[in-house]
Amino acid sequence: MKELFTTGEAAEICKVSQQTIIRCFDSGKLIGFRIPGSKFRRIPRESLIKFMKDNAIPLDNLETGKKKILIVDDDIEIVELMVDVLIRDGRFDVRTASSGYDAGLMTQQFSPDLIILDYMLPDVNGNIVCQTIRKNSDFESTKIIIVSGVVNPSEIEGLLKAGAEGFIKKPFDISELVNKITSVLSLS
Amino acid sequence: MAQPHPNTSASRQVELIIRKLSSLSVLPQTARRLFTLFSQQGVQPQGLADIISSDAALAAKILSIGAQSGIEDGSIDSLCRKLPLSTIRDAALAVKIFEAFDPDYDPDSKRPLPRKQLVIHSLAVAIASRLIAQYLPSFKADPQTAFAAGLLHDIGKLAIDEVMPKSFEKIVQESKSLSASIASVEKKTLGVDHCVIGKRLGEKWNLPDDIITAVWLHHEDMAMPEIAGSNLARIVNTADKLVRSLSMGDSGNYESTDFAEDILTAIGLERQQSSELIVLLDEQLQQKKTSLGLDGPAQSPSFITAVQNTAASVAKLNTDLRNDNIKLHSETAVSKFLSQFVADIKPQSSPIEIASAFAAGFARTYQAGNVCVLLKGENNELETALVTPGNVDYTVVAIPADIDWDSLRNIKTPDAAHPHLPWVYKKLHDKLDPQARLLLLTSGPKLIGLIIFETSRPQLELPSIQQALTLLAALVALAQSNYKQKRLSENFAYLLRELKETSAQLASAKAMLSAAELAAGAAHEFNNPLAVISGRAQLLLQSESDPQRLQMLKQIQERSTEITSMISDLMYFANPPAPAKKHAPLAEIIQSAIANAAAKAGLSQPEVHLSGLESVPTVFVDPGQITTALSNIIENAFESYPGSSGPVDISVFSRPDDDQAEIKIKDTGCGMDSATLAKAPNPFFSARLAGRKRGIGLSHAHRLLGLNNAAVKLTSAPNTGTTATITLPCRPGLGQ
Repeated sequence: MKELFTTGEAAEICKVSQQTIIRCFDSGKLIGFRIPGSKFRRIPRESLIKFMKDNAIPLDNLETGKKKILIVDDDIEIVELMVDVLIRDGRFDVRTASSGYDAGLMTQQFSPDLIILDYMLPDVNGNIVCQTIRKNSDFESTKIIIVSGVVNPSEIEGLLKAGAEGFIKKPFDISELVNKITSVLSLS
Repeated sequence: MAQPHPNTSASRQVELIIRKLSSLSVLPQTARRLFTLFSQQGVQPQGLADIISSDAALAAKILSIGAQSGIEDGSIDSLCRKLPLSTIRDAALAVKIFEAFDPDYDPDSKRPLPRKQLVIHSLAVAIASRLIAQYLPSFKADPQTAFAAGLLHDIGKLAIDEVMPKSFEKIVQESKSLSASIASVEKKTLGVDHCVIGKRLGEKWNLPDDIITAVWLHHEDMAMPEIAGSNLARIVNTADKLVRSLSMGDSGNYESTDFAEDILTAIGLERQQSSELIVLLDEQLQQKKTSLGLDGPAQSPSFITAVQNTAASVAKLNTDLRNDNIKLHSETAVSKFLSQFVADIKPQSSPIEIASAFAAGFARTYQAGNVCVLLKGENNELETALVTPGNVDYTVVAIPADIDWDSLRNIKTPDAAHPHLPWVYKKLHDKLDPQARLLLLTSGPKLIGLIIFETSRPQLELPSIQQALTLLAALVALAQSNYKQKRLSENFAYLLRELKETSAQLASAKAMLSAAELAAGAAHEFNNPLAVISGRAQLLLQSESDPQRLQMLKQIQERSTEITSMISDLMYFANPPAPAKKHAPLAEIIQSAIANAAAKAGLSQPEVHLSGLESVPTVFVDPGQITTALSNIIENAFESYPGSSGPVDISVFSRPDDDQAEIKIKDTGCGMDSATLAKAPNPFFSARLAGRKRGIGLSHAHRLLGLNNAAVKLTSAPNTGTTATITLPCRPGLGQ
């Protein structure tokens, strides 16, 4: 987890200009220090959080150190199951979507590290969602795992070709689900 | 004999040979009885009729003579009363009795279909046909005619057995191993089946029309058009199925049948009547069998030799008489030749028969030597009849590609034939004198045939020959168009039957597939609920410490995993992946299939005997799919032993230049009866109690083998075990 921020990073996180951060730093409203032997300002994580809370700035953009996962499935109970599993694991920050359209919106807002994508969505098929995300260079580093009940190896290969990093067969073993996610995200 | 092959010229060859059969052998038992009867004073017509009506070959001959004498009666009993006794006796002797006395001929031999069994089958069908005709007056079939039709329904088989016994053996074996209709196997192997051969023989022998129809159509199950004999055909069809379901005799046909009572109620009998009829059939058949000595063992060789000698001398006497007749004929004039020729021709005669009758007359009248008639058929072939003294050879000669048939019309006649037709001489193995002369057979502007004849006469009576040729050409042209139509109707009947068989197969394959597809579609819907059930159980498991609850949660999880794999099987069956074929070592495939099967059956030390693995080839298949298929079959073999692990024999047969490798997987376990065997490839069919075990293994194996151009044949009998014979292609593009 990131512990020290520059004034530029703090401005980005708080969605204000760098000048404003510098002014607050210099007036003592935002506590920090200068790097010895230079004029560069540095802000510790805790004081940035305090500053944001004091000024009612949402903490959303402050990186929690957790990997962001978007779960896309139209079956609410499947979504709940996966959320329970991932929250219990503790390493993940989880959002959900129930259609291809929602998935697109959430991807823009949340910019997840990983999308767990059901193939059979009510509006579009998972491979279309997959291709759309792959075409957008903003989400170059976003990983995708497709979930489906198909068994035919050639169909699975077809899904992976649409740009997914992994495949999970429904129904799944929950430890396999977590293992797949950690391996795709290269977590230990 | 030429190797039979299902192409046009082969099937025509077969027809030509069949037509050469002037009569069929009768059974030794029948012959013995006949000789005893003829050596007595005052033969009773009834006794004679009894013997004749028990033997298809003899009955056909007598009916044929009846028709020639103008007695329109399908019943053998009344023919025996109406025909002069001497005529019957001569006819009986003319039948090739002595051939049946071949000392090597053993009716109870190990041949797949002993002649005696076929005769018992024919007898039973005859009796059953008579009974059905009696029980169902609405069919308006004369019971005695029904008896004759039933007796004769398989004369086509007798003919095939007589002319090409080896091929017939193979056909019977194949029908047996595939449980297939013998007619379709014949059609596949010979290009023609015993029904059509029987029809041809019937026509040749002038049998009554309705009997010919019954012989021809006795394998047709569908509603038939109202033609003479269609009711008779239905009766014989039913009788045949009934007799096969009751296992009386052996017809060489191993297509599965319904229960006896159901067969009879299907044609319109009451259930009560059906049971009565079956009892009567059994009684009457036993009577016939006993009175004909078919129950007893074959007679001793010395007796056979004695009768054989007697028969041979009688036959020789007959031949001498016939030769005298021929001499007499040769003295007749040209006009007599022509009128005789016209009289000899029957409405059913085929073009080549007309031509050979002409050739024989021609040889007599012009004192020619060998005469060969060649008629242009379809497909650039010449149907050929080579008439030599006392013999006619029928064959088919293909016209070489570089020969322009129509240009032969310009040859000056009667030129020497050899310079113009060296290819014909070659095909006939130079059985004709190179000096033989050539005549052209023309119909209008068309050249329809050639006649090559040997002659020693310097001068020929050309005008009279020309007159004869014109007549012949007209008759041949007429017969050709007539014949084409007949062939058309025969082919039509074939097509209908094939259509019926294929559509039945298609329907069952389609039903299976659409059921699987339906299930696979529904299965997709199972995945989400299953994921939730199994996932929730797993989550609960993680935080549970109570041992009893742990056990329950484990059960929930395991059972949902089991459903998952069933669903996968189903979806796999409905929509299998395309095989990734490559050259793969068969030995490795077999080894891993055995290991997989043993693991699935839970056997650590399976008892497997492997043989032929030393020289196994590589095969061209998807190794993964074939491993799965073989492993499923081997697993079934393991499971055929309740509570033990084998032994299972696996042997591989292949020669270096073979296109295919054959694997036999054999167990001596519980085996299957024929009903189970027929259903075995259906998915989810299992002979075990419902719910005990999924039955998809074998159908899965079938499916995968089919995708890889491989085939599997199962043979099985209860308590003796099952053998699966699998053939795999060794090269790309085989077996498609």
